Parts: sequence; structure tokens; C-alpha cells
Amino acid sequence: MDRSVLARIYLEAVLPCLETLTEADNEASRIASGWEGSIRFEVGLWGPRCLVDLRNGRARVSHGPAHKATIALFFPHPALLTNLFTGRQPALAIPRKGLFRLRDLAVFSRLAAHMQKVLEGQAGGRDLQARLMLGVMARSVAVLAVHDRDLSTAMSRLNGVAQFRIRQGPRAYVTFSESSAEAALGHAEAPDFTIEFSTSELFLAVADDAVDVMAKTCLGEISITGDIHMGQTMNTALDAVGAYLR
Amino acid sequence: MAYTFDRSRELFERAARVIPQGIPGHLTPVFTVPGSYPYFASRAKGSRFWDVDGNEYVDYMCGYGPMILGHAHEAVDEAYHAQAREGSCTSIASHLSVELAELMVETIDGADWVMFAKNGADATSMAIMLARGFTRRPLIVLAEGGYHGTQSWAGTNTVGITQHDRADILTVPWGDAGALGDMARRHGGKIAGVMFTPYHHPVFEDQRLPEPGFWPEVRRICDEHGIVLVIDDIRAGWRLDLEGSPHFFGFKADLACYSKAMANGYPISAVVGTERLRVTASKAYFAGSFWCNAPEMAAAAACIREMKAAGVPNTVRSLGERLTKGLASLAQARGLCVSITGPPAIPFMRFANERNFLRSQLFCGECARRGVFFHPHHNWFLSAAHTEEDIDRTLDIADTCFAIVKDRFGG
Repeated sequence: MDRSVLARIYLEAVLPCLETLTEADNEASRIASGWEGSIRFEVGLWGPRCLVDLRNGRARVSHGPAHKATIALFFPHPALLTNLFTGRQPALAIPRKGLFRLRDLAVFSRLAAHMQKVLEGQAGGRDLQARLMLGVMARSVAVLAVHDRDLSTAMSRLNGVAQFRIRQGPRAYVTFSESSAEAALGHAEAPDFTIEFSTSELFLAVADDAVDVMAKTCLGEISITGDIHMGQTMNTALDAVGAYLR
Repeated sequence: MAYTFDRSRELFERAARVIPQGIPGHLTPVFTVPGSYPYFASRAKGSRFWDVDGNEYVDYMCGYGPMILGHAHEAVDEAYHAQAREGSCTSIASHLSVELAELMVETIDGADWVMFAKNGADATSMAIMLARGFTRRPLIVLAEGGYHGTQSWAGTNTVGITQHDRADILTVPWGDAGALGDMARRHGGKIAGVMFTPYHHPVFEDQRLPEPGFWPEVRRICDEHGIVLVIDDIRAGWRLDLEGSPHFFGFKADLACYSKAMANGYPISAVVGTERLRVTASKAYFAGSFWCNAPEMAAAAACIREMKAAGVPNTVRSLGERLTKGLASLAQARGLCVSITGPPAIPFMRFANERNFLRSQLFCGECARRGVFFHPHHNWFLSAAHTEEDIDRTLDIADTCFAIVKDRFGG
């Protein structure tokens, strides 16, 4: 497993869940309202960066610059960041900014722990879990399309929009063009490929690698339409996302 | 009245409990249009098959190629069953292996010897090993998007494959002799073989016939660099030319792989080779429990004799031309733009103004629900059992389905 890709998945696919979480979940919003400020995560000299801004009980996640951050944490090696998320040691960071405000990280830590519980289905309910996971999946696919050594070659040939959705529920999509990929939440106009899961439970079971996707598709519980070749690549990418996050 | 698939669905629910994917591999309904296609067949005869709901189809997939004489062909089936009654898997080689090998050497241009196996993947894997054994080099060049089976080196499957499985595989765009020449120079002396299909037939894409000069240039590059030229004729073999697709396109291969239509549905494959690779083949140990089964050899011999007697390549080409010209004309009349590529006997149709196959899926799904079995993403196959009446009935149904596409998409 490429630790730098995993670090990027955490920063660009998992942390953005905080936006949805603090918007949709009262407990998350309550935790977030305990601090106003921003934390920037930086991995290596040329690795991914991410700014988490907490204001009025809401989180905003962006690529914002270091000078806007209250606290900036530099992780010399990707493994040091991924260890932070997986609970392994060492999980060391060098505080580049806000050395004397590190105690404020406690709010972020509580919020991150709550997000982890929601993602694992221990808080917030299944629909919220599915909503967050859908975003994680879509954003992770975009990360892998550009940065995963094995997948990026195959995915660089993709051109178009892949939509992921839960019937009568949340949606996310990835736009592929010219070797780039960008994920967004919501409805895509005229997607080239669409995969729709009949229920949140089914989607979560798929995300948990506990479902025969091909069989469920033939039974109509998962619907796929459009560019099946793109769909095959999505299937491979989603499998890789699962492998990274497990 | 459009077909329904209730029994297919019931059977699939049972299948999904005991078979991963329910229907794994190339027959998976995921690659057609779940809900618009039958899942399970009950019987087949000639150009038709019937699903478990009793719906009848004109079959343009022909079992994905093998059924070149049509389903349940009496002469081939009788040859198979007659031999089966005399013994299937004997403890010493069947005399039929000699007779079939002689027939193939007599039939296929440039074939000096034959080695038998069961499936196309056996043959392509065997050919690669022979190329490496002959040259004592490691690298194999394939075409990007080319299909040679699902074995670990072939690049089709992604589950359980490591980088080592394909470490000695290089790829170039199909039809780009310049890229092949560059690769041969760059890897000077390390390329054992080049394995290409005689024309490019990827899934989800237009098929590509070779440009004039492509095959002579590939042959020249292989000769210059001491590379074995392997032709994977599994899909196209016997439909273009009974002497082999290299003969059809006017060049000589060192090794060629055959299966699919070789025995009209019975499992057998073969690698044929030229004299200079005979000694290498004589040193290799290739085997499978059922590779020497006699009934399949009897079926293959009967099938090849039938194909020769009936001039099958001309028949399927003529039928394919009637079908493809008819489809193009009907689509144009409806204001739709279709692209039909590849040889007429093995055509691939898609709608030229889309890349997501939504029109193709609707068109093929509606055809299936009316009794014409096309595939939206894979090339089709004509057989000698198709009739002009089949084609005309198909075109009537296709016209209705083009109208549905026009109505849904506007163009």
C-alpha cells in the first residue's frame, strides 16, 4: 500500500466528511462549536495539504493556505499522518504554527473521533453513515485516479462523469478529464455512467465488501446504466478504496 | 408483445446463492442490460435459442463465437456423440488426434504441426511459452485493449493479480507498426514474441481492420529482431478464412491459436506452428486432463469438413453484409447515426454520437425483448445457420427499436 496515497485519501476524501457531518448531525455541530479556528495538515514537502476551518459549529475543508491556519501540523512522512487516523504509533507531527494553541486540538480530536464513530456505524444512524461513505468513496476514487500507480494508467483513459447514488438518497459524482479527476457531492447532469444502490444498507454492505455486486446488479438491487467500461473501472477503483481504508 | 423474464429471474435468485456472481464470466447479464435480457437458456437450434421463459431469439452472439454452423448441428453433434459412445477420455491417445491434426495442417496456411488443448486461454498461454522457449527471451508484446483470455498474464482480470504476473508483458497500440518497431529496438534482443489478433476487436470500442502495409511491416520487424509472431485467431478464426485469418490478410504467422468455432461449440483449442518451432514444441510439456478427449476431436473434424464443404466464410460474410447494410440504412432513415465496424461476419454496432452506450443499451435491450439477441458492448457473430429470412425479420424488429431510440434520445 502506498502510504502517500492513503494520506491523500484521509486528507482529501475523509476529512471533507466533516462538512456534511457538522451540517447534518447535532452532536457533531455541538462538538465543533467548542472552538473557532483552523488546522492545516501538511504531508511532506510536496504532499497533500488540507485546511479544516471550524466556525459557528460548522466545518469547512479546503486547500486553504498556511497563513490562514490557527495551527499548522507538518507530517514529515505520510505514515505519520496515516498513523494518526488509524491509531498506530508513531503519529508525530511538527507544529509549524500555533505551537501554544495545541490544546485546542482537543476539539478537533473529539470531532474526528465522532466522525469515525459515524463512519463505523456506531453513531448518527445508517443514513448519515451512508451519506458520508458515499462522499468518501467518490472523493477516494478521484484521488486514486490521479495518484495510485496501478490505477492511474487505466483511469487516465476515462473521460466523462460517473455518478454514485442511493435511491431517493444522497448522490456524488466524479468527473474525469485529461488525466484529472474531481469529485463532488450531489446530482450530475447527464452522467456517462450511473450506479444506483436501492438502499443505504445495501450501499454500506458494498462499502464493507460484504456483497456480491454482480449478483445484486442482475437482481436489480443495484442498477448500472451507461458506460459499462467506465463502470468496470469504477468497480476496480472502489475495490482499491476499500483495500486502502481497511 | 415484449418478452418477460420471470423464470430467468427466479433461477438467478437460486444461482446467486450457490454461484458467486450468479452467472460469472462473459455470460454475466451485467454486460448486457439487466432486466431487458434473459439470463438462462433452455435449448437452441440453428440460428435460434429459447430462454427458460419460452421466449425465442434469433441469436447474433452464437455462444460468443463458437456456433459457426448453428446450434445443435446434426453432423457435428452426431460425430461427437458417436465417438462419446466409443469412449471419451481414454488412457492412451485417440487415433482421432492424428486425423484432426492432419486435417488442420492440410487446411490452415503455414501450419506444419498442431498441438491441442481445451480453451482459447490454453492455446494463447501455450503459444507464449513456445515463443519464449524458442527465443530464450522473456518479453511478450500485446496490443493495448487486446483480449487473449483471463489468465494472469492477459490483463483482463484484476482480482488476485500481482505486478509480477505481467512483469514481462509490454503493450503497444494495435495497428501501430511504428510503435512496435520502436519497442523492438528499445528492448533489443529481449522480446520473445508479439501476440496480436488479426484485426482489433476490443469490447466497448469500434473494431479496426489492418491498414494496408501493417501486417507486412509487423512481419518484417519480427524477422529483423528474431521475434516470434503469434496470431490469436481464437475469435476470428474460421469465420474470415478457413485457411486462417493470416491468410485472409495476406501474411504468415509463426504460431496461431484456434478455438471457438473450431468444433461448433465443443471444447477444443489448438496451436498451429511452422516448421522452425517444431523442435521447441517437441521439448515442451503441456497437458490437461481433458485435452486429449476424443469426442471433441471428432466434432472438430466434422465441423472443419462441414465448413469446407459449405464454404462457410462466404456464407457468413454475405449474411453479415445483408444485416449490417440493412441496419445502417434503417438507422439513417430514422435520423440516427450508427457506426458498424469489423468484418461483416463479426460486426460491432454502436451509435456514433455517444460514448456512454445508452442508445446501444436501449436498442439492444428492446431488440432482445422482441426476439433478436444483440449485444450492446461486444461484437456480434453470424453463423451459417442464419437465413436471409432471419436477417429480414431482424431488420423489421430493429426498425421498431431504432424508432424507440429516436423517440427517447431524439437522434
